[in-house]
Parts: sequence; C-alpha cells; structure tokens
Amino acid sequence: MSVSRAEACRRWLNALCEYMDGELDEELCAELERHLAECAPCTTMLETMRHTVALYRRWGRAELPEEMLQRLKSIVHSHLSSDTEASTA
Amino acid sequence: MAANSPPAFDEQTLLHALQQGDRRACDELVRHYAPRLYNVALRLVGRPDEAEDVLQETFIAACQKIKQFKGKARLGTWLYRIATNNGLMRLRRRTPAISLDELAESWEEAEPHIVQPWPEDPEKAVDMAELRAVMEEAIRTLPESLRMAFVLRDIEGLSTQEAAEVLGISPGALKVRLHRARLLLRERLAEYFASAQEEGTR
Repeated sequence: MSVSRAEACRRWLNALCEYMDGELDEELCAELERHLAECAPCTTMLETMRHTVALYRRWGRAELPEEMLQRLKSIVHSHLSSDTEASTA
Repeated sequence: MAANSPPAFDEQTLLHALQQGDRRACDELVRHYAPRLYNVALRLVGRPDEAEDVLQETFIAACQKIKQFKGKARLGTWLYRIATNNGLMRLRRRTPAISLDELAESWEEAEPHIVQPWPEDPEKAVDMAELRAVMEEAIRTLPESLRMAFVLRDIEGLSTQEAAEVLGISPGALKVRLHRARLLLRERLAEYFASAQEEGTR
C-alpha cells in the first residue's frame, strides 16, 4: 500500500462513522464512495463497524428484571402518597 | 408489534396526565421507560443494585418535577438526562473522573489493527453465548465517556442531538466519542472473529 493511500485511508477512517449514520456532507459522501470502490481495507472497516453496531443494537440492552419493575412501581407510588399526605397535612 | 403489546404509547397524553397528578400515569411512565433507563443506568454504574437505586431516584424526581417540564426536549431525553446525572454522581463518589491522558490513550488504542472481513452473518458463524460474553466484556471496559455515547446513540437509538443533550456536550464532541467507542468495540470483536476463524481452519 502506498503512503498516500495509507494517508487517505486514515483520513477516511474518521469519516466512516458519520457516513454510516447518514450525517456526512453530500460531497464528501461521493468522494468517500469513490475511495471505498477501490479500497478493500476501508470497505472491510465500514462493514465490520456496521456489524458491530448491529450486534450491539440487537444484543446490547441489559434486560430489566420483572421483579425490579414491580418494586420500582410500588416505591414510586409510596413516595407520591407520602408527598400528598405531607402536603395536605 | 407483538399481539400482547400494550396500547400504542402517546407521550403527549401521558405528559398531560402526569401534570394533572394522575397516579396511573406514573405507573405508565415507569412501565414504558424503566427498561430503557435500566440499560443506561446499569451500563453507567455497573451493578444491578445501584442501577435500581438510580432508577428509583430518577422516577421519584421525575414525578415530583413533572410540572416544571416544559416540553423543550422529548420526555425520554429528559428522563435519560436525570438518570445519567444520578448515575454519574454515584460513579464520581466511587471513582474520579477519567483524565485527559486516559482519553488520549483510548484514542491510540482505537487505531484499527485487525482489518479482515467477518463472516457474512456473524451471529450464525460463532457460538452466540461466547460472542455475547466478548461483547459484554468489551463494552464494560470502554472508558465511561465513550461507553455512554455508544449506549445512548447506538443501543438506545437516540439522535446525535439528543444523546449530546443528555450528556451535556456538543454534538461534535458526541460524534468523536461515538467514533472512538465504535472503533474500540469493533477491534475487540475483530480479534474474536479472527481467532474463531483461525480455530475453524485448524
């Protein structure tokens, strides 16, 4: 890989995130797509970053235990009740 | 939507009911937002019991202050902000804030080293329990500021603007953190897929 190619890849690496999110400026977008068409490593970076986000989007949310949800509801209720009693006392 | 899903959520109706002091609306608020806030709180403080405390404080504060809510942000964004602030306060009591040196290190670490294609459908190519354990470890060890940008933006699905508002930083700063987080997580998973492929060809 030539030095200029490596430098181009480094520059584009910083734009991949915005590109993935559809937040990259239109002109830069076209320029990046031309680069991607001829650069396998950058294409792999883009694909593997997309996989990373997709995996976390699907599996990355910690699940709230049902009993915790019930405790939360009852604690919030009891706090609100004691607030109302205090304000009407 | 699944057949047993609750009726469609209407933020404006809920907000109106909350501001009228409707108790059932508080239940609805907890039911709808607790799963999302729990993920954020747990990712922030790291322990389920502390995350539960953060949620309690958040919902009590939200129900008490709901009349002050002016609707400039979405209700969810407002709740994420309260929960994040509560979580950060707890965290700061336990560990000091991350230094700029550590952030600089995380940037150096974010340089990609393993750049080889992954299987087309990564979930089918490896043991999911093993992959999920790697994913958990990777996100757990991210610097907190990067982790929170990633959790809010990529797991919770907030917009760049909303996630930046929750964290009290500019959209530009949010994008930088998110980019670093994605690079670091990608690298950890790339290591895993590379070793899994190697084992598979042995």
